[in-house]
Amino acid sequence: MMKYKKSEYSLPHHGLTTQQKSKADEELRKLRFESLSQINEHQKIYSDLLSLKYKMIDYVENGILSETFLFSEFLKNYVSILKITRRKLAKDLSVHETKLSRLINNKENPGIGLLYRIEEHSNNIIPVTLLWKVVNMKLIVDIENNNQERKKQSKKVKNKLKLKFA
Amino acid sequence: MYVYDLGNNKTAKVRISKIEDTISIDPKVFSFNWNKEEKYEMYQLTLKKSNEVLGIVSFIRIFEELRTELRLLEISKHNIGKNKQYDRIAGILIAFVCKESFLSGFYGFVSLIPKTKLIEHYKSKYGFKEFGKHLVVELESSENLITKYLNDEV
Repeated sequence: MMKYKKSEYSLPHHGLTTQQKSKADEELRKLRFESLSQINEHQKIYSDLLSLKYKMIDYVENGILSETFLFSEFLKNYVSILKITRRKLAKDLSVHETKLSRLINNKENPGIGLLYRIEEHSNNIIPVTLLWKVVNMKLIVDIENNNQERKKQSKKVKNKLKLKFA
Repeated sequence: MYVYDLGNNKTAKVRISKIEDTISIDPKVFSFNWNKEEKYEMYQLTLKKSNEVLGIVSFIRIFEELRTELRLLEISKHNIGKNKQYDRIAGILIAFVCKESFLSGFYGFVSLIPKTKLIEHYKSKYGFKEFGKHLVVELESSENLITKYLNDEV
């Protein structure tokens, strides 16, 4: 009798002949099509949301800002997966339609409160921390490139350190 | 993502990367014939601190059936049996294939064919169920593996 707890095993070649493997694949194909026909709308939405979440996780881990993964794009995908109107989502999240439109069109960055609401709305499938990391990646680039603000704020600084580095 | 160091009772961070060329696979550490898998997708699990390869997996995406078939999975020689150093290697590689299945829009469906003696192990440890000669996971059971093995939290 094998001990299964805390044991791990490799998965070697199955050892079936080509004919046996084809038969097993054909059997699986039938069962797979049956199982696909039984997938309901909720399961499709759930699976698509998980797929979106894993793409966002990979994006954050990759650490390179991409237009495809901006928060505005997330919102477009979210509305599309749920198959609801932007008006309905705005109502569900208790935000004004104009505000949601500005977020979707990347004219505005979201506050943390809205991200908590999306976490709740998605039944915790899309965690607030992940959304915040996505928003933050854009914010970092925005801050870095905002020379107008840098110049404006530098005028308010006195006694700047005069240090020299080799 | 982490493996468990059984010698020190500590965790160690790991990463997964694509294998572009099987020439990098050390035959003293891995005994499967990985050259035969070159036409499939192959990934390796490595320790972040040393780049030591702990495990390799190969799989294929079958788009017409919306499924991913896990073909081979090998744990490095030092990590098999009662004297192994790291635990969770197979679990992480299986969970990675589950994640790729979701990313392909396959509802997390992963199939594999184990040797007869390993069928109960895959069912009890990873939640696979029998679909003819294949074992499969999908949807919640696939997500559970991802949550368990690909998270950073201990």
